[in-house]
Amino acid sequence: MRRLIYLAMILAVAVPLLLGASRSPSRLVSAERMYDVVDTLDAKPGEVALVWLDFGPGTLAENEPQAQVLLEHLFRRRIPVVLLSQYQQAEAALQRIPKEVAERLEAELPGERWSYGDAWVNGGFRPGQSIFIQALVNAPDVSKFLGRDVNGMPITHYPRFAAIGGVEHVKLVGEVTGLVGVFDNIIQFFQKGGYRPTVVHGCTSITIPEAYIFLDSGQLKGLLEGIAGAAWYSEVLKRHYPKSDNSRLLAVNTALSSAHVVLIGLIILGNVVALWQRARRRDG
Amino acid sequence: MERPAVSERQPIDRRAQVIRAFTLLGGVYFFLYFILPETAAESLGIKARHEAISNGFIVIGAMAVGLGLFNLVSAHGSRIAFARKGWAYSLALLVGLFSMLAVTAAQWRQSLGITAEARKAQIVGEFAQRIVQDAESHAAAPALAVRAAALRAYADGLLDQIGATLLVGPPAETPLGIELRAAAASLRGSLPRLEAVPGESLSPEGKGALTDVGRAGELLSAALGAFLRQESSSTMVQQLYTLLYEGLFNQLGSAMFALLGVYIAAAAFRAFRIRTVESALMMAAALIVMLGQISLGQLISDELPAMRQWLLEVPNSAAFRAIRLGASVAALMLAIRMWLSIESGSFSSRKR
Amino acid sequence: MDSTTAWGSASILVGGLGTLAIFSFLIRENPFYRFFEHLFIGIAAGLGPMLVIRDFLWPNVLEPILGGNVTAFPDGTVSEPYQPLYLLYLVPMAFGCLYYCIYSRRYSWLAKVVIGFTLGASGALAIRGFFGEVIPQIVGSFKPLVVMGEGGIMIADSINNGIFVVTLLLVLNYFFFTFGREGAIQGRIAPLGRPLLMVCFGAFFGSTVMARLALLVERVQFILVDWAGALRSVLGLG
Repeated sequence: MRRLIYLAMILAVAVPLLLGASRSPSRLVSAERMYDVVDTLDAKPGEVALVWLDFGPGTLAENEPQAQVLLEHLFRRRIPVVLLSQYQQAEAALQRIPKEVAERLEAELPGERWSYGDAWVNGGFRPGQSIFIQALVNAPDVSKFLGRDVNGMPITHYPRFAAIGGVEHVKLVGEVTGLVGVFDNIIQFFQKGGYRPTVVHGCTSITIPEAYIFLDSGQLKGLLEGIAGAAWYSEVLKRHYPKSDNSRLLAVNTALSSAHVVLIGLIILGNVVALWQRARRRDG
Repeated sequence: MERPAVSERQPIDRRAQVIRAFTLLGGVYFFLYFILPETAAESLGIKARHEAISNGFIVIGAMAVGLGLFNLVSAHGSRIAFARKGWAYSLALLVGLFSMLAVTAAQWRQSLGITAEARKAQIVGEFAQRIVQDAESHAAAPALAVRAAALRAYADGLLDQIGATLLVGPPAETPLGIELRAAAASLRGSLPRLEAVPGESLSPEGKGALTDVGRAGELLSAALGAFLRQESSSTMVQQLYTLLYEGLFNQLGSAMFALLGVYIAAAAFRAFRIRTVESALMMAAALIVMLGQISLGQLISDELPAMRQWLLEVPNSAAFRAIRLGASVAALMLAIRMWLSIESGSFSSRKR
Repeated sequence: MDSTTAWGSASILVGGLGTLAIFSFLIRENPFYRFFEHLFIGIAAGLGPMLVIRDFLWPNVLEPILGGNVTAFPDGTVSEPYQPLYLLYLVPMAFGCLYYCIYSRRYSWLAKVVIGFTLGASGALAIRGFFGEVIPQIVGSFKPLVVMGEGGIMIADSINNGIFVVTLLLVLNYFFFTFGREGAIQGRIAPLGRPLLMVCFGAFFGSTVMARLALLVERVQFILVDWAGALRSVLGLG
């Protein structure tokens, strides 16, 4: 029985993927709010967005599409992005995702460029977690505090990141992670005096219920809820930028829907079987 | 039970006291930094040193990096050495570990080499800027003309080296190669203007020449870094790193967690039963959330996403906030007890 | 096929093989699974230390100590004088080395000194973190029970706020164990939090389902699209 359930789940996912099924994702208001926050971000020259990619292979499936859509939007808006991580397993994500987004945009818009050092810099993995964040927030110049990028180059070497100044010039803090403690570090320590940054969060689905309490209190301004959030965000992006390609994400989201339906069916079946067994026992 | 002699007990207690003192000391700095007004932190000189002090704390933690390695190597190494059951798996683990260490180290070494090369071009920009700064602030430095000549000689040498070693063959014809050639030509073109830099005070023409050379040097540095990184992306070290990281680490990690996707289905079938009103409520909430977040849910009702949103925003947020507030207060108490060594039973080696 | 493409394909093929090996655990535990499981642990353990050294210890500590951040200019001057104060980093480095005393029976207590120091720092930071997080949460919980809009009372918002506040108070009360629940009022109110908690747990379960299934979808997509594509390409089938 157990193996039949496993097979049913794998087929529920595989069949729509093999058939190339693609449906429009469910509308998620939190993702729309996040889109509006990024879209109306008022970043003057010298001001940046700080995006933490704190995920490894364990949550790559959900966090990678979120990072993709967030970076795509920031890149389209030409807001310079500093990438950092509190989680050492994010090494590949920090290197690969911005590069892929830039290549996709360059293919979509021939003649335009999104290059390393101009559109983004990769500050790499930073140990210390809350100690590091509170030091960053209190640093007189974020560029100097960050020191060198992952290639060993001083961040000040890149003209758009040369003199960020105090943390007040970080216009947006994006945290893409499935790790609750790592997200807590941002909520608890990324603030100074009267400064509260605009924080947006890409969370794994398992942490959605918890993330909502921060959305309600205003500590979060936007939320991407798992793959469904990323899929809806990509749909909103497509409405504004029709050439944006979200076909792969929609295929994943459709397969996810199919798996949900099978799982709901299994729950109902389990209850029917339980009722039937109870009735049989009662009848002797 | 026989009580230990006083002479035996005393050193243990003293050690525990030392540990408690260090525990208290560890928290004093951050506690004071947060409660002190900013002006006080500034006048005490703490604010200016906060970054370095914070780094010091991180250094302490970072020094523990080898602990995991030691444990793994000793546990699995001994299993291999004594050919205990499962030694072949231990061998696989150690092969993975040392391969990753070696390949990451080699990749880092390669990256440092690239950075060192790009730094050479960056020095052109930094040196030009420094000449301007020193001249404007009248800092003690060699004569302007001497410095300008040194800058020109250095830049010429660098450009010759780049031309001879990098701007040859097929790589020079790639987009980044063409960009590098253009950046090199730009710097070469700006160098003769350095002759306008006079020996004594800095003229506007001299300043303009130095600024242009500085800018061209920075552009060359960026182009050189990008070119060298592209070249290194096809080296054996980089390919091995990709194989280990993208091919094995990422894929195996994702696969391990993906198993949970089928386990949750089996668990839902076996255990998610409606037996009471409360479990019915839980089931209803779960169904609304599940159907509201998938595209197929809209086939049942257009209202499902809105219902899910309401459920998460109102009852869920309120209940979760209550849980979180309670947990936060408990965590605060634990933090205070930890800092003040009230929870320090384990510091004492004496069994209670 | 050039070498970069060949390595890329090899990477996908090995990854697919590893994924199938891990998935074979669904049938039963087997040597194929255990081999890749151990390989994964080894690779993960090897990555961490190198990144700490590469991204933190080298650029922030070791390089400045060795004077690597001082640039020598072509005229013999330097970008900045060597800062001997960087040598002070040797103190936390030496202190951090006490972690390794854990391997000595005689000096293992010294490891507790550095562990205690780190715990103390974490404790003090947690106090700061508590206020950073909880105060806005408490402030955000004071919701008006009657929400006034331009057209008068906003009924839906007022009801929602009422439900929010009642749920918050009932669930807080449910977890309040400081006093007993023998009293008539408390005895009746406390159980009211349970059904509300069940709604919360239901939402949590629904979200967890999406999290777990997303991981499965990503893997199956990798096998069906990327791995199968690379396999076809290697076998010359398309």
